[in-house]
Amino acid sequence: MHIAEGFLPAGHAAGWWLVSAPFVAHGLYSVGRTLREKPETKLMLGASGGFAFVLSALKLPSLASGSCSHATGIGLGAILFRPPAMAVLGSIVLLFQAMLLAHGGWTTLGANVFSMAIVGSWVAYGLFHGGRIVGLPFAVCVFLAAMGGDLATYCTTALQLALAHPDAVSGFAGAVAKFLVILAWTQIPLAISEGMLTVLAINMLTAYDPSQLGGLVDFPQRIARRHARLLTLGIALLIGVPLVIGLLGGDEASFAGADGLVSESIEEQGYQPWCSSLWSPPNAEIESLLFSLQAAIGAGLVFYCVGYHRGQHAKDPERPHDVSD
Amino acid sequence: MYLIDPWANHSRWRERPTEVLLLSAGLVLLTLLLPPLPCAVVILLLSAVAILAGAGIPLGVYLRTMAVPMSFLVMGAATLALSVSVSAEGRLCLAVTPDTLTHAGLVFLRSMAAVSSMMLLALAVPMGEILSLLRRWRAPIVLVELMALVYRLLFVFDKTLSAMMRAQACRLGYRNLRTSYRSLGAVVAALFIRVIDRARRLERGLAARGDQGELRVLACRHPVSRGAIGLILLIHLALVSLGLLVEGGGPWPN
Repeated sequence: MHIAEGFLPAGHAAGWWLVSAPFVAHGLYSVGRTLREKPETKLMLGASGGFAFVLSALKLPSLASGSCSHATGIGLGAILFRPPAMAVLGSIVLLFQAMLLAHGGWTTLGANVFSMAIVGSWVAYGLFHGGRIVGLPFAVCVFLAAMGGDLATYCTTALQLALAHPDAVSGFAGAVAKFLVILAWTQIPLAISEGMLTVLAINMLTAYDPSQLGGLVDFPQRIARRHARLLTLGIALLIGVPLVIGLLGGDEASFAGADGLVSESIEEQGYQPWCSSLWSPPNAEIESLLFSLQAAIGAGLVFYCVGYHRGQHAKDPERPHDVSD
Repeated sequence: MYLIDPWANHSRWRERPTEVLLLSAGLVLLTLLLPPLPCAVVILLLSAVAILAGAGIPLGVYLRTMAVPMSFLVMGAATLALSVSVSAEGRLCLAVTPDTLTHAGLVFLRSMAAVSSMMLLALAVPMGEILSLLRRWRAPIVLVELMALVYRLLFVFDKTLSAMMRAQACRLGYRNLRTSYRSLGAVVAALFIRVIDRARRLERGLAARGDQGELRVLACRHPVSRGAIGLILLIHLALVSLGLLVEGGGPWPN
């Protein structure tokens, strides 16, 4: 569902153009670099754009009777061509849709490019690779990517419309709710059917000899290295973000244990402890000594296991030394 | 589906891309910038007259292209007309007030005028002329080349797609929902493989002919009429002054 020409006021239209411009410029830059290295990929890109346009005009069999919906092809495109190229191809497809099919518009092109070719394709791409990292089955990842891309596009469109036309009484929040509900009628069945269709299409594509597809369908090996990097980044974030939050939290109390906080709050309500510990450490230094001893024993055990397994790998000549290679 | 493209090639103004682009883009911008109550109506009428009388597009074609964005416009305007809020007691309140109705009406009117002005370029000038114009104005060459390729190939692929779907329909591929999804999945996958194959064959053909990385085609240069440009600027100026005249009185949608 594209925002029609003239539906956004001038300021909003210009704003969304400015927001989308860096993404499209980055896409153009990366496409231009690929073209300088391998000029022959130009035809492949042009053909992919034609494919994306034809796909976006495809009428889907309707799940809910009465609603006729068109595919968007974002999920498939983001998986096959990666989001930077999709920003360029998506802009071209949206411009042609405005000029040849009267869907969308020029001044609203920025907003439509942002919701579909940028947010939609990055969400689809993220969901696909995130699902692969977590270890979900392939078909589930494809389904989630195609459906999530469509849903993200639809939510972004609702947000854009609500920002431009806030409700007279309930303001921005009410307008978001209104547009989400109105658009849901066509967009949620569309997301589900496009998810199913994309799974079927990708399954049939992988049944075809992948070497014929010339590295465009880059499923297992090429992705593995990127996944390893993403996984490391994810772990670093998981460790880093709570640390930063803790440091910004400031006072020492933010590091206080849950046990102490809970027993305090229970005693505040008038409950009395009816038994006490058999033995408690004589002072705080002994207590922290015991804690660090416990940590040292645990660390020793964990690293013994890691080292043992690494040694086992090294002994086995059949297996590679490093998993990431 | 492709209603606009054949008519653009039959338009009376197909050899005047510069003038039509100036008129159409100017009208779209003015629609957004000027108060809609007098201006959008004038612009809607002006663009309709330009499309029907100037470019010689039949009324039926114009109305059918204008009907395409109508589902979005009607739904969007209805949403604007209805105000939804939650009262202090937690009840849902739906309201239609004169204010929301005016707002919805103005946005609808402005959108109609803008769509009609955009269709002026789409219906009156073929895409090939617009692309050669962009090339002459030194738009990023990567973008223009990609656009030209996409434009040339999309009709080929659409024909392939409809041939494949007809073949499936003849074999009862769209008998019920289950088979429809299976057939559509198969047709998308098959089309993708066809697309890759065609791109590779085109690539080989171009390489064999000494491709330098740019697809140069002979573009006809159409003389730009000074009088027409002057008239178009005069129209824009008249619209701006009309907008300024009613600046205080004309209601503004957001």
